[in-house]
Amino acid sequence: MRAALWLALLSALVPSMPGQRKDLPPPNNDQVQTVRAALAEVSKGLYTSWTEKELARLGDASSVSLTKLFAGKELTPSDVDHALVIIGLSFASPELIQDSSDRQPRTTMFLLKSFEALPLDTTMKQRIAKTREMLLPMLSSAAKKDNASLTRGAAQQD
Amino acid sequence: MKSTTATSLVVDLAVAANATAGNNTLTVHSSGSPPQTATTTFFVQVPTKLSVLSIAVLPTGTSGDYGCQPTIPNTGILSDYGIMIDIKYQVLDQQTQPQPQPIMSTGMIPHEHIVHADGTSSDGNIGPSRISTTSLTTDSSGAFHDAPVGVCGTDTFSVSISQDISLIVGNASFTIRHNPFSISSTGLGHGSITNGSDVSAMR
Repeated sequence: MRAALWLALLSALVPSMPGQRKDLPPPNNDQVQTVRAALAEVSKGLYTSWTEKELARLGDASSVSLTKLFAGKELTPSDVDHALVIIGLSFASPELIQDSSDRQPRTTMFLLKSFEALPLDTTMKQRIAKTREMLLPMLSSAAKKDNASLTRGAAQQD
Repeated sequence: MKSTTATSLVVDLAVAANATAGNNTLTVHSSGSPPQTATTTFFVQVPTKLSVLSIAVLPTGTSGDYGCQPTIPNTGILSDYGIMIDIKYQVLDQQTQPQPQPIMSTGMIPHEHIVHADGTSSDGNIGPSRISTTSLTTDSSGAFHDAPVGVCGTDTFSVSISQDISLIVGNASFTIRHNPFSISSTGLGHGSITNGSDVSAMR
């Protein structure tokens, strides 16, 4: 139920989510391609220096691309596992993120929230929590308040 | 114009990014009486070749200038298969006699076009990256670092990835190197990388 709620919320707020997706051309910009290639590598247990470098310059934009790539898909624990690796690489060196607005992990926090709502084992939930802890200091105080409200809202829905 | 006297004129001239490569003629004309003309030549260097100055294997770690990480963050999964290196290149010009000469300029931006193992491609500037030796442009001697370069994994692997390096100068771009990298790992803490010619490293 929580998963359905979060995915519905995500659909309402993020463009090109399931309801609209059929009418849109397939995502083909460079950032989506970068993240798609990174997912393919990570699923094989690899990461290349070139993908690592490209992700490190994307920051929060990686999570926007992940959201597009995951739109309409029933996420598996493997999907979440791979996404967490992508997110980790995307925020490994915040000073390298090219668009300063992408240094704030706003979409990433939202994505992590949606992951937390999925039926995952304890280990995976702990990984999600650790990723959130790692990213929280990067949020501005205003965004932290938004994030806290989002957390409270989710708790009330539960 | 830098200075003038009754008998001299000193000026700084900037060579356009799209200037004709090689020898060019500079003509100075004086309209005095009698009118005089003098000519001299200057050589316009263009990026033509990269020579490898050094290759360093980046150590396993999680901070500083590291290569592969011991484990995937927040998991216990070992990820120290493979290799990452730091390559230092020197940009050389088009001369062949006696030999290519360094282009001592800070104004060049190293750029790369990558064809990944799955056939997809991407473009981007080589620097800066998380490795402290890297930067957006060449240094004052016309050298730059490409790092990290390599692949890390959670098991043994063998992949091929090609890299085309170009130098961007103003609005001009010069593609001057093709690196057909083969990268593999036969075990934890081990890896090798080669382009089949002047880049080769293993650990």
